[in-house]
Amino acid sequence: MLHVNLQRTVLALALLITACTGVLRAQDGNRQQTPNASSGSGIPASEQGVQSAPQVLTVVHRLNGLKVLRVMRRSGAQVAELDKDFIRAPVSHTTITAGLALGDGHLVVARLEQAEVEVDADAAPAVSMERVSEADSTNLLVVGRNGQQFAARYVGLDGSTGLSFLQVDGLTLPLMRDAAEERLQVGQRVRLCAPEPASRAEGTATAGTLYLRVGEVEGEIALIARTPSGKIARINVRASHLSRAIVGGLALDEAGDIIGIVESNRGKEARIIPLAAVRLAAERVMARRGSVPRPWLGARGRELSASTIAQLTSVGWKRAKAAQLVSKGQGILLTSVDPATPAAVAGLRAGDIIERVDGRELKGAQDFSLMLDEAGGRATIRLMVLRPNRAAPLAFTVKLEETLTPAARTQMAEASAGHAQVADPFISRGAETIMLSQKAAANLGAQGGRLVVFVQPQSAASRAGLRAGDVIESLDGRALSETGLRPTIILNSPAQRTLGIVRDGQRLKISLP
Amino acid sequence: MEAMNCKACRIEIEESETSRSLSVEARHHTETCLPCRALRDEHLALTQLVGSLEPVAAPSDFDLRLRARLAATAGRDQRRSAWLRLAPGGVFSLAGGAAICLLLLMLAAVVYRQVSLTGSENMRPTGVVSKGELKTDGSQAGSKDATQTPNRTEDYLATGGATGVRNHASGGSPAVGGATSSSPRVLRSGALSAAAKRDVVASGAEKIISSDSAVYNPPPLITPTAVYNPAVDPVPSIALPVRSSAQPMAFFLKGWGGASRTVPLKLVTFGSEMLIEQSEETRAGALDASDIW
Repeated sequence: MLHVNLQRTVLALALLITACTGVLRAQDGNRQQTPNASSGSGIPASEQGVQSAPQVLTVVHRLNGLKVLRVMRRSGAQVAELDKDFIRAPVSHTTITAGLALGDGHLVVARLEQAEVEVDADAAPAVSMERVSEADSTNLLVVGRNGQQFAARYVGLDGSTGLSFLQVDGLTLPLMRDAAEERLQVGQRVRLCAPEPASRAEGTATAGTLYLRVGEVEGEIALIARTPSGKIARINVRASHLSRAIVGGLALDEAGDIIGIVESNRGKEARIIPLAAVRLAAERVMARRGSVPRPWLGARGRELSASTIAQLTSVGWKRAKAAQLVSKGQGILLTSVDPATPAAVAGLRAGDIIERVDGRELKGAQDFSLMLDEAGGRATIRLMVLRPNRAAPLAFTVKLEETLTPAARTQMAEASAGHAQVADPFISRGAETIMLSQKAAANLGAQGGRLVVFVQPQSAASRAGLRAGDVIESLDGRALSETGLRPTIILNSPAQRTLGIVRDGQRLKISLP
Repeated sequence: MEAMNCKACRIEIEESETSRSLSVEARHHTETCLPCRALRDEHLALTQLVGSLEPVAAPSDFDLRLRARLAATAGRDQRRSAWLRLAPGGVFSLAGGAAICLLLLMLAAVVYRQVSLTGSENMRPTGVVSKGELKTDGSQAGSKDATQTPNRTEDYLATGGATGVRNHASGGSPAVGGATSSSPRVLRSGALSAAAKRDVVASGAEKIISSDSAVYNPPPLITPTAVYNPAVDPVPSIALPVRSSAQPMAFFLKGWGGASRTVPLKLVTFGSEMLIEQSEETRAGALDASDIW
């Protein structure tokens, strides 16, 4: 009897243990399913974890006075007031944008709006970059999400994308995961992350200190343009609130994986440089260990869709044909072609309408830039062009050149050609100058004139010994002033000129070939 | 008077101290009933015997030993009672015993697991959260273990090691991380609103190294005493010193039409913001790279 009872007891205990194990397994299962069930987003739990902590870096680009003036020169401004210490101040302006760690975590890519001032236009990249790296290494900071700052070294600018690459030595920055390109689709939600100023409670802010945080704008993919090979060439994101501050920000999907970098914005749409293009740019820059120039045609123009009938008739088109072309709205109208540029050498001229590039139909300005970038610097392209008073399209073969700063290069060409709109007469000699007001010039010890903000290496100005920071007070003994002598025509002549300059308060004379 | 029976008489004899304390009825009954009389005589003799004995002193530890004996006896009785109930054929059936065992085992197992989970989370250093966790108030957990060490480190730095995180999702008082925090609270990312994510992303330390440093300084370990104070700091942020010249610089803008004005230089710009206020005059004289190839 006792034996039978013992067997029953053991059997009952075994059944109990089995039941308890089942209960615990079911409990575990419920726990693991809870996050997905609660979020309702369909994103796996592992991916949701990334969403909350995108590794958006902050890149701080600090400009000294001369660099600021160089930027302002290209903005068409003249100096009205200038503190005499402004030029020597290590930081006169700060530009802030987002950054993304690439490669092994030591390379940071950012779209620095003022990157042009870090590179010497069209100079030998290796030489210029080495010089810039040593001189200006403290002007680039990479700030982690915890506020830690690290000095960065400028590696190079990719001319095609406008992306800058920085090296951060001694620190491995956190990497982000790539968004699956094949999963991207129109209508998909996107997060645009970029640094922005953070408000502080009254009385808690410290003077001279800027408080930042990484802000976020939500939008959705409005356009995905693919290359013939199926790769993403361009992504447009539509968002309700976009400003110029978002340029350079990182585009992330809902899981926090990186889609690309904001290249520009117009209205409620932001244009994204796809991550694949970013990585290609990184390969180009790292292969050279310096900046990679972009193709240069040497012409100004505008989209035909953005042109008016009057603008076409002003360059030789008949009204009826102009109306027809504007209605069609496809192509690029060349508004100016300066001598000695690749466009001019090929025979292009103002009024021409570029209709096709290497057999591919041209829709707009962005398409044209993309096609030139795909062709690459020093490439030869074939253009189909419509010309006033010509019934059939004309074919032109253009040998492209390359430059880091197409705008500056074109302006230099315009200056050399004696273009009336050139505001900087010394650009044709390789010097970038900006007009000073009397008060600003007085702070630099001059009576007036133009301040040299940059000297192109190996240019005539460089060979003459002109330096950034000099004030050109006179030309051939005649004073330069805001309302006085306009030296454009004089400088266009081949004769050697004598410049009266003020350097560190001392008056000097140099000969400009 | 009613005659007493034997049973009632014997009870009264047992409870009485002497025969003199018996009732009239009991005394009358014993007069006529021999067995009851014998019982009365025996009880009386025993009482007299006990009364004739000398007083006996109890040992000094009698009380203690008595209590210990009582306690031991009570425990043995209880164990014996339980076994008796569980034993086959005992007071309770086997089914009843099985049900009790089932409940006890389930309760013990659940309690054990809860204790072990709590213990593993408490093992983390203060402020450390797994990848995918954000410190704020307690919602359901959806833990994702950190598989990338750098990210984990960055998460730590950003989400609580130094500053703590403000919780917009709950709308309540912000959580405060670091050493002064009473207990780090955990919220899984899935429950965060966009506003909360913005602030979480922005969290960062207030302490920074000199911006003048051109030499790489290894990142110091987070000081858990650096705590974001929500009472005085509405948004956790990165502090960045911004220096400028002694006097602001102004620019003279002159359009091609001759109109001109003076505008100040912005000390800081974000993204592609203009260094000076954008205007028609500026655009007229500016290089627009978008129409240059």
